[in-house]
Amino acid sequence: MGDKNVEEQLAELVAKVAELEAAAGGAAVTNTMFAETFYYLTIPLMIIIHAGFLAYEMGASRLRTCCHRV
Amino acid sequence: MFPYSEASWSVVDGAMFIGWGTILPGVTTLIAAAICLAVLVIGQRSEAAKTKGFDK
Amino acid sequence: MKNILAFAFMIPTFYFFGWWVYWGFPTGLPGAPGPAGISGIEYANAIAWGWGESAQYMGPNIADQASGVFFGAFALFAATTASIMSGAVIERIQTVGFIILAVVLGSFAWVVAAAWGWHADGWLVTQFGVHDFGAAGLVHAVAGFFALGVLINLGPRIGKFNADGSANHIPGHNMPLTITGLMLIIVGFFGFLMACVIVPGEAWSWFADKPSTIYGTPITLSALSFNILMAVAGGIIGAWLLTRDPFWMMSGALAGIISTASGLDIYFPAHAFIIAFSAGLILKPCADWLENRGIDDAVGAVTVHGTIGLYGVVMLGIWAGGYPALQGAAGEAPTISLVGQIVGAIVFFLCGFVPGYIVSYILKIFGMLRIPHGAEIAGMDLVKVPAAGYPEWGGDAPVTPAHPAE
Repeated sequence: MGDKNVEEQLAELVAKVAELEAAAGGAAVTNTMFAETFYYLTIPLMIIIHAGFLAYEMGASRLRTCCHRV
Repeated sequence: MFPYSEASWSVVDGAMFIGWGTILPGVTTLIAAAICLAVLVIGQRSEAAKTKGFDK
Repeated sequence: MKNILAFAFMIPTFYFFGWWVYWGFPTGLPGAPGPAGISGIEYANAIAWGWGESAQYMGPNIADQASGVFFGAFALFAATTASIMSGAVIERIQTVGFIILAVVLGSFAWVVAAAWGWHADGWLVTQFGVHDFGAAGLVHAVAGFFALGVLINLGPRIGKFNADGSANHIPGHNMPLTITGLMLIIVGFFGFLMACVIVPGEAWSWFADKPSTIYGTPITLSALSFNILMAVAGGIIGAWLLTRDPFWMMSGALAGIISTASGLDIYFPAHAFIIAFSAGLILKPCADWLENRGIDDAVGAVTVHGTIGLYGVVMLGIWAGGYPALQGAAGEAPTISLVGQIVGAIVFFLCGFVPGYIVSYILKIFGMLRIPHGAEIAGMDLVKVPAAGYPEWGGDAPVTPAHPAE
């Protein structure tokens, strides 16, 4: 950097900072997207619990009441 | 049982389970393995006794 | 029918007021704000009502990618809690009465327990160091003992008990379906426990760079994976040793998870295995004990979720004494203790049993709890459901016109 003047060096620094900020912003967006996706996916997984409860209770009731269980 | 000297999570940077640094993990691993073996032995015995009744 | 409908009622009622209860009452009545600044009636009023200013957090909002999925996960917790009770009361409860009970349990009773024992400002957490990562107490025990309260007022199925008080076994109509259902519950459990983890990237995250429990203490999905799998195995093996019955073995798998759920973040896998094994062992004797007291719990829900849930909460107190129960500096963060866990267990028991007993008692007075004798004998499908489970069985299925006659 020895042969560059101060202004050029400053310009380089500003560019670098902007680049870093953009990267950090991207990371935050990724984090938010990850969190949202993470919880979103737990919802259908927990609906499987209900599929389980349905099957479980239907199986455990006698024939004449199995539909009411569902 | 907290394996770190201060009762705060801020000092934890590695293993955090109950008994880390003591013999507990090793002991529980041995006991768990012993349970598996013992259950198989007991299971084999009682099942053999039950199935024997159907011969002859 | 009743379970599908209960699910459908749980979601909107949790939307209408359950979510508000969770954020409003962690510090107990009268709903003062807590130290973390995300609790109290004022805070709940600002974010959890579906009208006015707070409605912006209760609907699509480009600046809020957290409330919806968080609400969704909690609503599913609520629906699951209500479903736990469902199995215990089969074959004799009225549909509307059951829905009312499910709403009280799912959108109120367990939410109060969660606000007290789960929320970082909850008084059980801040004052007693209660630690219940996977909701063994505040979901399972609350639901289990709510069911017990209902069962006392509901009474046993006709034919369950003989004149001398001895119990009969009433076999269900399809064991393979029951076992498959239990296995699906295990699958769903992974989602349930995964949703107990607070990941970085949303407004309520504890950290920007690492996941935590709802208390801000460390957790990894790896920890969950280690311990859940070992607990499932331990529970199955314990139940097999004692019963050889596939129904109890799969119930043992559930019991294994529930008995270790409070400490899935900090147990060592083999340790979790041993605790789950013990839960699998005591499961059937506990269920038999209850049955001999004249309680007809058709699927063992009180035992699997209630008794084993509290067993797990107390077990963690024995093993994890001294662990910080909350994120914070040494000396300030409450620590886990046996006494604290026992206090938690008692509160969770009461949070379930008391409303369950009272509401079902009121329903009984109004004749909305149990179906009439004749209808129970005939079977509820015939009486209430315009559909047949297996129409070819037991005679011809009735033929009905596709369109109303002209």
